[in-house]
Amino acid sequence: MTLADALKGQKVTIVSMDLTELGVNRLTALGLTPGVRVRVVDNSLKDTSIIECRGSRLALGRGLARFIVVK
Amino acid sequence: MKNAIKIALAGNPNSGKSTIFNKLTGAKQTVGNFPGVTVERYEGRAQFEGRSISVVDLPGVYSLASYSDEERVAAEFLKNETPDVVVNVVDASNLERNLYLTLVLKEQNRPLVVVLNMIDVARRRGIDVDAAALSKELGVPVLQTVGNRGVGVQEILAEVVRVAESPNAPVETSVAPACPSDAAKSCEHCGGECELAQTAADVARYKEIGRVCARCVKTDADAPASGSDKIDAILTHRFLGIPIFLAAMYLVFQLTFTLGSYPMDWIDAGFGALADWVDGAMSEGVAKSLIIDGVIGGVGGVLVFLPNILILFLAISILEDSGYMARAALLCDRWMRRVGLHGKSVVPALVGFGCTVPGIMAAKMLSDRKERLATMFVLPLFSCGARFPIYALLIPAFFPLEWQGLILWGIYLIGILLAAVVAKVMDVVFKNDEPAPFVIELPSYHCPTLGVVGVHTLERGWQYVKKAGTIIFAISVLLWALTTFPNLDAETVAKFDAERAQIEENADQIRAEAAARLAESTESAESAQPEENAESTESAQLAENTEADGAEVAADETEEEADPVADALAAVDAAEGQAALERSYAGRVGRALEPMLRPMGFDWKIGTALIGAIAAKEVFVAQMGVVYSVGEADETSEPLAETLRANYSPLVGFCIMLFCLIATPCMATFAVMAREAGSWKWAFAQWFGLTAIAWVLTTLVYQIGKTF
Repeated sequence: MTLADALKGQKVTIVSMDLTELGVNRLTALGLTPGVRVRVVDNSLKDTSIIECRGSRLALGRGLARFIVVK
Repeated sequence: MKNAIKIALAGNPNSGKSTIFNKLTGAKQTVGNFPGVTVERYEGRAQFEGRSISVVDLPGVYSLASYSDEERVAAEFLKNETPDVVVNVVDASNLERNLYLTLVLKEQNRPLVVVLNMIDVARRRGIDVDAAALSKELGVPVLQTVGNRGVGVQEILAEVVRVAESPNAPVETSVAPACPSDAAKSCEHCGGECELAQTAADVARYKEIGRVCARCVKTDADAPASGSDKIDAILTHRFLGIPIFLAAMYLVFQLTFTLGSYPMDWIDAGFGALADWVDGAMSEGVAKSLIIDGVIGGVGGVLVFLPNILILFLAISILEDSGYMARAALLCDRWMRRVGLHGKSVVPALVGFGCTVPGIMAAKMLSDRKERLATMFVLPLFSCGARFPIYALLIPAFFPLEWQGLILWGIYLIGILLAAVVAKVMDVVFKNDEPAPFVIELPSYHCPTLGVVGVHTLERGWQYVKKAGTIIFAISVLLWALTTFPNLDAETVAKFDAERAQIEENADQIRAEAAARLAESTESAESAQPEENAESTESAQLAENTEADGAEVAADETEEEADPVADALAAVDAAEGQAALERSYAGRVGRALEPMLRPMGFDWKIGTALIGAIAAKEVFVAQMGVVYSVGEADETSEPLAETLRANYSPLVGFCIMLFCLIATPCMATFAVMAREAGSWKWAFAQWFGLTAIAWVLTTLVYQIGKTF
């Protein structure tokens, strides 16, 4: 499952991020790393996922969320 | 012992860094730009026990990995300007994420002081950070503050002085943590440069953070969650979000231009009065013309935008500081992304409909350089308020009432579509291999602090006056010279003087004749008399006009009975103005450009007026009045509309509007573009690029339209 498929309110763990170096580094600086717990705040917007991770709230484009594998 | 200490404030966006900076330095700040980029550099001074401490507020960053201008600037500053102490402001309520930057900063090997900010917010959320333990774990001094109430801010200065004086004094640490970048160096392939190595370093950093947090942070699970969830459920709702955003922007917009119109009117009136006073106090001549039209007009032209800029920036600062702007960006991102812009680009674009100048300044909020430049580049295509007088003159002059709304709407729409096309083209041309990934932090909502918002607003206003103002002023004097020199030769002036003298001599006779004529025409036109007090300029302009009607409108301004002698004198003045403009450099350039203008259906008269429009778009209308010697003209001037109708086809009228919409951004836009883009190159590229597009498009429209 990817982050884009997760449901509102679900708590998931990041398994891997199949992104370019730029994408991975951006996300890492914001606290998204493999193994981290993420709460999905809202996934109902068409192009954006809103999540909470390490105490901060982030909005991710679908283009990123589709390539973040979670469990 | 060094007397002056230089410190740098570093921290994540939304960590309260700017508030701390304000509390440290008070109002004694200067704003500049970091070299080559539009990242603002705030610098200030603080005093502590007689020591002078200079403070640089670095841009808010999440890391120093140079993925954005902000990160590059911060990294370069730390490397090249070697501050004595780096003060890392950390959001205590969001420690885990914030400590990533702390570890990165530690690896820079500069003396570091960590400031745990917003401990009140953290406590409310049930997060308790043990500062002493944190200091031990990190191996650097850790202080606690509540920035917006100024708690603990003086202690920062004391600690900074202490650290600066003994930079090598060891801090008591329990464990000396391994430097995470050592993990990267252990990479067999490259020794720390490759992707794999970077990931290894990041994993090591977060492992270290996890270890530190486990020892220093106690979280009370029963504490009330932040209210952000409930607010976000409404503000970023899939259906409600956009309408709420549009309403918010409408409010900002209304505030900027309605509230701003009062001080603008005062400034206008003030400069008008000043010009009148000079007019009376000085004798005729070049010096007087320079002071009234060049200097007073130029300075007025700069200051008249100031109220708009101040109000707009206040509103935007409030939206940003409260946390709402990030939500707005994510809502609009979907549409803006299609043309290669960012969600936040929507704010400058909307502002641009009022005035391009504050719109370009508002583009500052975009952190990606490419997106910011593209946004600024297309901003003049959002038809600004100053272009409205041109439409208001030309549309009723050439088009029947039932078409007017549609044409106006069409002009605005053409601008928007063209902006999308140009942005998309820039996106394709300048984009490197991959688009910047869309990820933004949604900071917790909080009440904006007046200090930060106010100081930033005033500083930006002052910067506008100082930097852009000098350029606008210089160009306006230059344009004055272009339309004034060379003067009419003595012979021509003498001819006009003689005409005036003759009119004054025969004043009584002229009055008598006019009275006789008027009596005659009133009799004949009695039955078809149009309403005397036609308030609506539109209906007046559209009405079938008799000659007497035109005279009425002309006399409307003074609200006195038309004096035929004054009219005759005004006609001579207007003819003299026309002759002077024709002879001036602007007139000559207009003529010289005629071969370029012909394909668009323009003649040299339109060309000369367009040169005036370079100063400010609305000048076009006044200049047209001068070239057609109808005297003082504004967009409600019926004689001018009449003259235009007699001389040009509706197609040419439309082409003028199209050209004015796209071409030659006004000088204020030019100056601000040069400043905000960080180079003149961009200002010139924009000016000539848009003018070229305008030429091609207008020529196409004219040539195709002509065949029908």
